[in-house]
Amino acid sequence: MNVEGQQEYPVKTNLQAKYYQQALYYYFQGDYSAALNIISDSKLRLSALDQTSQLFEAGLQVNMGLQEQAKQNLLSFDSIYREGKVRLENKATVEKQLTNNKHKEKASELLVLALLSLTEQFIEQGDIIQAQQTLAKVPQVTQRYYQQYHVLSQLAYWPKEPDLLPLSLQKNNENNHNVDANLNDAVYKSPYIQLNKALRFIEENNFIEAISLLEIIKSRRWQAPEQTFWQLLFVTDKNFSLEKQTEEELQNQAINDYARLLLAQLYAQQEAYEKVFVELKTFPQQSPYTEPALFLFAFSAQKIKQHTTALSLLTLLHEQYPYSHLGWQAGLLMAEQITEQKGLAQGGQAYQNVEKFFLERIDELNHFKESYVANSDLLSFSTSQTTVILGKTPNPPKTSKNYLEAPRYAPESIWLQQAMYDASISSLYQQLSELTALEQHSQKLQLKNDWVAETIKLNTQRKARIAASQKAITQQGVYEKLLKKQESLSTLLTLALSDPQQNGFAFANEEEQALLERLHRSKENLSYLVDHSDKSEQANIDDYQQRLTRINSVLTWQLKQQFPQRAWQHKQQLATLEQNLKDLEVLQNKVSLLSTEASKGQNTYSLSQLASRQTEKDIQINQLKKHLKQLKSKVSLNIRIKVSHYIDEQRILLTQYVLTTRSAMAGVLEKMSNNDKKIEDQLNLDAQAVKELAL
Amino acid sequence: MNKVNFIAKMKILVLLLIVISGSMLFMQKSHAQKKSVPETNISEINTLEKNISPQTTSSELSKEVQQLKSQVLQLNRELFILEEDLLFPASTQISIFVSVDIGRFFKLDSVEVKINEQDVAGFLYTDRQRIALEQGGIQKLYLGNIKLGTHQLTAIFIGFDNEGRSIKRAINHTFEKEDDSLMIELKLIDNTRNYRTQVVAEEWVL
Repeated sequence: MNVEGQQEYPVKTNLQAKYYQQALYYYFQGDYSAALNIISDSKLRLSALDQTSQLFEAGLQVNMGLQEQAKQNLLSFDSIYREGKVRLENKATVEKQLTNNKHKEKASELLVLALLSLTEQFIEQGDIIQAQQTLAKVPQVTQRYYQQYHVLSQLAYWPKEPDLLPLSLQKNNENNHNVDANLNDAVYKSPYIQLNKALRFIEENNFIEAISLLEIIKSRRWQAPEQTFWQLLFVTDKNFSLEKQTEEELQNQAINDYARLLLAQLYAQQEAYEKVFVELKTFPQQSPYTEPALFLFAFSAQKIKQHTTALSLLTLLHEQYPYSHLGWQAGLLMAEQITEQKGLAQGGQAYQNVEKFFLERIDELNHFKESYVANSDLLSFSTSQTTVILGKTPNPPKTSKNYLEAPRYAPESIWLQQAMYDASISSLYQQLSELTALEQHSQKLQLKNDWVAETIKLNTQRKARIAASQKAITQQGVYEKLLKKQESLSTLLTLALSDPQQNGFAFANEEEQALLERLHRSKENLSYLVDHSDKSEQANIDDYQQRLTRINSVLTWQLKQQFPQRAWQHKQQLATLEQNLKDLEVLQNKVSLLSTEASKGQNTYSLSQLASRQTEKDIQINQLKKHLKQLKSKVSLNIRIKVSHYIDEQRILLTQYVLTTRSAMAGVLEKMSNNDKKIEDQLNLDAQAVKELAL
Repeated sequence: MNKVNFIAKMKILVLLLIVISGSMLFMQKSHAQKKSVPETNISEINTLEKNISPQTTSSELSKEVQQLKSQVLQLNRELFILEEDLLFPASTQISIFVSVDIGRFFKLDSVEVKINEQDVAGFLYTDRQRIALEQGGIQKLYLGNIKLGTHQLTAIFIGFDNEGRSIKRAINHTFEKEDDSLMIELKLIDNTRNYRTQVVAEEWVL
């Protein structure tokens, strides 16, 4: 009770927040499926999620590869936010204004995040119109999210210039004091915004602007912006194993290398091969763009007559990348270079080698196709006996504690590795791995469900035994007998209490009872003696009489002395007995209520309810297994078709290369034959001249 | 923004550009021989594709996979709840949670929990688990059954102070088990006044 006399109720715990924190515990350990389980559990138990949990759920879904579900979640987040906003505006009173503003600010930040994440999802799924519509819903953007917003706008409106919102300054934010709120600065500092700008200049054929911008990008040291918890949440490939500094270093290097490669390409497009050569001369060996850079470098070296460099680069490229298109092309260029540099004979030999190389590849490819078609299990397929393994050992399958995260399929077959550079094949293989993991997990679910069924069965038997024994107790009337006994004891006590003089003997202990009984028997004997004895014994009888009376008086006195104490003790014992009987009655009622409810299936946790839930789950698991099997065969079929396509495409390409090589070789042979003919003619002429001279 | 993805996409774009430009050079030379390329394989694939019905696109498959994944998650969760309802009915259920508020003065290493002098739970923390707690996570340490009535909970936390010395923090908490499920959170809270960490037990009000 409070001072005003009103009943005070304890403040309810914010269970949403508690569930959210439990999910965070798993999230920070990288166990996304456990985190998602907790959030879903809270949704199921609390019937709804608050905004924070909902956004968190969407982020987890993205991490688990449930893009579609995340999209639906974020869409509903947006509509809930708008409904909530209207409600808040209608409710706003002066005293609530402050809290509302605070709430609105937080909700607004979450909305911006949700919309940006949703846009990213739409862009990844290639739904550009939806991405544009989602971006249009963003009400305002603060400095913290401006770079992300800008990049997404560029991608959504590509190749057009996006209409951007002005930068909105955050109010009442203590962390915002040190943030430079300059819009140009935010834009200038983002390498991705700048790269996209350069790409647009290229698209518009504005090469001068593109080159000057790329010159800046390639040489600047970029600093990754601090990402908030929410931004990190929606990043799917968080690399927990890398140090932040190392990761930043890698990112920075990749941006600079990419800008440099783009620049070299622009120069090549303008046929400024000298510049290409200079630009790529210092290109790092360890870069994601080494292969195309090396090709472009070799090509430019060839163009500017740096023959020795060109030849060694082309040879290197051809040897290092025997399965890449650039490597194949390098082979042809290399043979051409040898012909030009070292003469027709060596050139012809080089062309022969290149032709042999292509024929070997075709042979390997055919072999690969045969073994691939013959293999029934796609994920266990490995063609290590028939194909070349590039110097390194395959990576062991990635183990994960996320039970739905499938290990990435890493085949030993080099041709399959090449095929998997195709995003669609790689994605299909990933789906197949995921489906296999799901299939294994559904098996575990089945086992668990069977165990639940067994436990329910055992509990049902146990309950039946309890119910039977309860029924037996009821039939025997044990409780009623106890009640009767208690009632008679109560009557006795009441009687004893009502007349302590007469009924005081009721509280006599065993010894006293025995004495009382002996006294009673003695009295009876004495009265018999009085009736049947002669007068000579009268004196003895009187003496007995007196002694008996004396004993009786002592006993009565003793009992009276102890009467109050014993009466209180008995009253207490009777009260305890009454209480025990009442408790027993409550327990009995509860047991019968439970068994009635259980038999009628009214209780949610009753065994019959649990059993029906278990049966439902059993049906669902079986359906799921069926669907998984169907989908798995569908995906496998798609993979086979795609790989088949890939093999045939490569075969066509290799055949074309063989034909081109042969054609070039024919050209070389023709030139050689022409040369021979020329020499022969010359020799004939010389011989004729000698003959003529001799004559 | 997913930078690595972005770079990967850019890489593919660059590769495509180079391959296309390179192929243009090559194609000019090989144009004459194009006609002689055998086309039997293409027709084989086309026939294969025609024979498969219905043809599913990659995004459709991806959606189906996601849907099934979501179903598995849901089933997993429902089975988990079913199991919990079966093994730990609300009338006897007790859950014990652990949380750390900041954790500047106490680097959590392990915890032992007793109910009515009986050991019920113990946990040794890895760095990652400790950090997850310090970042605001709550760990469900114990889930069990208990009779109605009054009980005594004892928790002993072992950890290290800022100088790496081993220290202990403990709490005794008496609680009443009623018909509803009982949830007790053991909070390790930094006390800035005495630079010590104290353990507080909070019973969640449902």
